[in-house]
Amino acid sequence: MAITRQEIEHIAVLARLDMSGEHFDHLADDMQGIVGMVDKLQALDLGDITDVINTERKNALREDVVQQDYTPEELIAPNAPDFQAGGVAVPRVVE
Amino acid sequence: MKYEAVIGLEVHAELSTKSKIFCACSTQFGAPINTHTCPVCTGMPGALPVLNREVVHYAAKMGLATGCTVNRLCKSDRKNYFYPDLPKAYQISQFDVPICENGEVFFYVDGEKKSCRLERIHFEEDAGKLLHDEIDGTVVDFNRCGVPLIEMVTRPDLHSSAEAKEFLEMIKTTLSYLDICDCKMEEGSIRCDINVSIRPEGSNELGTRVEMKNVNTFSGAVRAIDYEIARQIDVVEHGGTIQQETRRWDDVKLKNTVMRTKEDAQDYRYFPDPDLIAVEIDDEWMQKIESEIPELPISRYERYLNEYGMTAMEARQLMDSFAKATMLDQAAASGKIKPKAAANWILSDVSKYLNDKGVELEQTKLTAQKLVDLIVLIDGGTISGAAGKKVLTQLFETDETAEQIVERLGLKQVSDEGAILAIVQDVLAKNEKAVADFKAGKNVTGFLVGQCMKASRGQGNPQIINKLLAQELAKL
Repeated sequence: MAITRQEIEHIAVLARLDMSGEHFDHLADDMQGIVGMVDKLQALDLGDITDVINTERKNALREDVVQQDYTPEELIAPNAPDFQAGGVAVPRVVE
Repeated sequence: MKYEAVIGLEVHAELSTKSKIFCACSTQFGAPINTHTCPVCTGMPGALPVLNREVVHYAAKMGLATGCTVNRLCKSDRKNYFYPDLPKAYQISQFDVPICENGEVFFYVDGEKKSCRLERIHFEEDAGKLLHDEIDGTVVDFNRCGVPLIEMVTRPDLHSSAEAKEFLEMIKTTLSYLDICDCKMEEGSIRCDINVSIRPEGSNELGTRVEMKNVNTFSGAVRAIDYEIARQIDVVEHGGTIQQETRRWDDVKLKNTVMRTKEDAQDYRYFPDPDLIAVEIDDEWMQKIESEIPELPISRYERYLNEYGMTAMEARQLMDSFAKATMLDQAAASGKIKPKAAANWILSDVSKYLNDKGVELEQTKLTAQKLVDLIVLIDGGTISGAAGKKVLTQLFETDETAEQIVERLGLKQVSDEGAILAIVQDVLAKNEKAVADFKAGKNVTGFLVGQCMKASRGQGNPQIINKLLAQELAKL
């Protein structure tokens, strides 16, 4: 399956990426490589295995217990480009 | 031309677990910004989600209560999209194997029983909240990130806003019966997206559907649906065609506007979440879940109508409150009273007290047993109905039994005919004018009964007073 420029543009829109024309060619090569790898996986003969769920391991569950280890100043502030009023400040989002 | 509306809903309900779906942060509403966050729910690199057992339990419970098949094996998938309230840039949800499928919800619309099929119920995490009033810009609050949700997706079986409203009410009542959602609409505990299309009446084909987002109340859903049906009919009547699009409902301006057209429809690129492994509900777990399903609201409703002889409105009011309906059933199960009598108390004086005080039934000290005792005291003539109301207010607030309260307040009714006869005779002797009026053919019974009640300090049995007074007057 060949990656078209149109597909890359679609993915760029979904990923909110503003891309200039020069990127498209090498991105097409990169993505072609990734898709090619998945195509190889798809071509594998799995015999009669049809499960959509891997059941080798299951039920890693936690109990419903509350534990609070972080403050916003410790967790959010060092990771936010702009920390205001206890949260990550972003450009005004108006839908 | 006449048109028929075809409506499908996607209902999101926040589950009332203590901790979030994939981490141990609290789900409590209204905390200061970002104080309920950790590396998992803020999407820090390397943090790994671990599924909350209770979320699986609650979701399966709702599935059973809505007639779904519970998939004993299910998995988690990533739904990818970019938005500031979603720090991982994907929401963990369920895609091709949801926890529950193929259910049906029954409800009444104007006395007629209807149903709406459920395509699926899946669990997923909520997104954060964008706050626009804190700063000159937008602040992202991640407290709600990772609060567990179930999404219930219906088939397009609804045909009017009235049907949609009754369906939503039944979903809400069912959630409250199962005790898996706090159902606080003002806190966004239940939200829905609405799909509407129209077709010529009698047609079986589905028209192009329009999705409406941002509907936060059931009355808002009614307005949004009525608006959209009218809009679509108007478009078609004027020779236009309906575009497949997502529109945002504005419940203040009472109109919707285009949010996304088909061309820029979301492409979520779902895939299995490699951080989470399969969930299996074994037989033992399933039995535990099944054992926790109470009698469902619609069954109670129909029982109250058919067995207790209640009106639709009475049955509905009782059904709506799990606590009130349970109290009624427990009181009826005592076999000592008529269910209708208990229902009358619960719907009138008990409900009035709860409304006035702004409390829930389970926060008071009233129990079914106490209510039964009270009604027995009234039925047996020990206290009057009026005294019963006084006793009831005490029953909410003290640990005393009805009998102890009657004793303490001296409310015991005097039913001793000898004692009442003495009072009646004394009243007649002291009220010569009334007696004269009576002889002149005037109706003075009400006045004289009042005098007798007063003389008995409110404790005379009114029926006996009436009887003896009539007997004494007849002698004049």
